[in-house]
Amino acid sequence: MTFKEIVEHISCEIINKGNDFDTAVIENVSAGDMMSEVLVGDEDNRILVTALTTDQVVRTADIVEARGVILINGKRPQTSMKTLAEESGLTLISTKNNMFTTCIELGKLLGKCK
Amino acid sequence: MGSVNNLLFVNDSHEVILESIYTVRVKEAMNANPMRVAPDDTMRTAKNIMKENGLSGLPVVDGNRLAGILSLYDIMACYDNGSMDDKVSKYMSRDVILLEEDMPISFAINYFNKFKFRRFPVINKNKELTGMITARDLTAAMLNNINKQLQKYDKLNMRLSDPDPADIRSDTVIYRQFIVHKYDFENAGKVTSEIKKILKDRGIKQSIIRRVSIAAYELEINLVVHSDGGVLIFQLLPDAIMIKTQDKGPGIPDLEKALTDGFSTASEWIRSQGFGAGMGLPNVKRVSNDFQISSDVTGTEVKIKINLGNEEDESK
Ligand SMILES: Nc1ncnc2c1ncn2[C@@H]1O[C@H](COP(=O)(O)OP(=O)(O)OP(=O)(O)O)[C@@H](O)[C@H]1O
Ligand SMILES: [Mg+2]
Repeated sequence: MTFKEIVEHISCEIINKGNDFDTAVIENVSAGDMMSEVLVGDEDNRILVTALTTDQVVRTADIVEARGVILINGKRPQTSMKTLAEESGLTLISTKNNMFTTCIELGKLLGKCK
Repeated sequence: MGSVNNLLFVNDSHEVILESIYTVRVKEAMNANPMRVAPDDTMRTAKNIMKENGLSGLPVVDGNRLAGILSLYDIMACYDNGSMDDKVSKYMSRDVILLEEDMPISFAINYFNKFKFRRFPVINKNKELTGMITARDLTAAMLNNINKQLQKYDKLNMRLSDPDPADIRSDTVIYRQFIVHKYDFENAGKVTSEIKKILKDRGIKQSIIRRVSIAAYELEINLVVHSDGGVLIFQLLPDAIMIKTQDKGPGIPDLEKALTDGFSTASEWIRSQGFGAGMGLPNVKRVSNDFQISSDVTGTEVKIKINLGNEEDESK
């Protein structure tokens, strides 16, 4: 799936358009608020779904080369998180949906849910 | 005395100051073997001792026992209403407020706050006079102790940032040391970014960079959230990458437990920062070709190696 598809299907707001916003093809999703759990996986072309709004999310995304981050429950990034996302060219999206709904929607887009 | 009062009431007193207030004993701060007079000495003798030594008060000692204290006010009273040939016992105050030499100086600070006196006699367990203490003595002892403590901290920091020759192989291509501070969430992860950049600039394979970054990040975060601060050492060798962290404590009581998936001692607020799944050390182990950890109360040391060779053969 692409960011364009995500934005079309999930009610959300784009906080930062990353360098590869138009070209990235997302194949996997990591959901959760514990950074080491994100680091356990080694799937490529991931998007992170989290309620955590700190710099550490961007740093973790950078380590696993995630394509972007979706903040759930209407969370807004802390100022330093937004700045870091802009600096590192990472796509940052915020949705009012909760974790469950967001993951189901993403699963549908990926063809992993009916 | 003002400065002593201030020290006591500063709410955000640095730990070092608090520590010195509770660990320095009156005995270490007092002036031992102070000038003294006997009850039968004349007021003239007392006045001369005070004048020559620039003292505003003198303990009056009968044998070994403290009988009273004589102040400048008593000398003035004598000038006004008596004769300098009168005995000290006639003017001294017998109601003496004493400090014991084994008390921490926090007691003395309290006394200076509570009573108007400028000096207090100090006695030992046998109730014998062993010294006198003034606010100035207190301040000097505290400053001395704070200084010593700071020097100790500095040494510790220096030891941590001095390269250990055993760590530097002769074929080291790049050697970097980073200091990581306790609870410094603002900078947490910056060391890892720096290492990542070095490897990218060198054209190291992406899959290796990812493994190194995972290990570096987990170890860096552990220094921030669990240790009292430490260093992270990065070395690029021709055939491998080595990372070592070394911290100032408090150590890991049960290493086996700490290496178990899901074991964490992280508090609720650390978890609210995204850490404490208990997956950090297992992650480091998983991405490393060689993993060593040792720990005691003086600190924890983790040393890992990631080979640059063909990953599929090397990593398990
Ligand atoms: N440098 C250290 N100093 C003291 N204790 C440590 C240190 N590193 C790890 N520990 C202890 O080992 C435990 C396990 O560490 P580990 O990194 O695996 O998990 P965590 O840090 O608790 O959570 P996570 O890494 O998943 O965010 C920690 O909870 C802590 O008790
Ligand atoms: Mg950890």
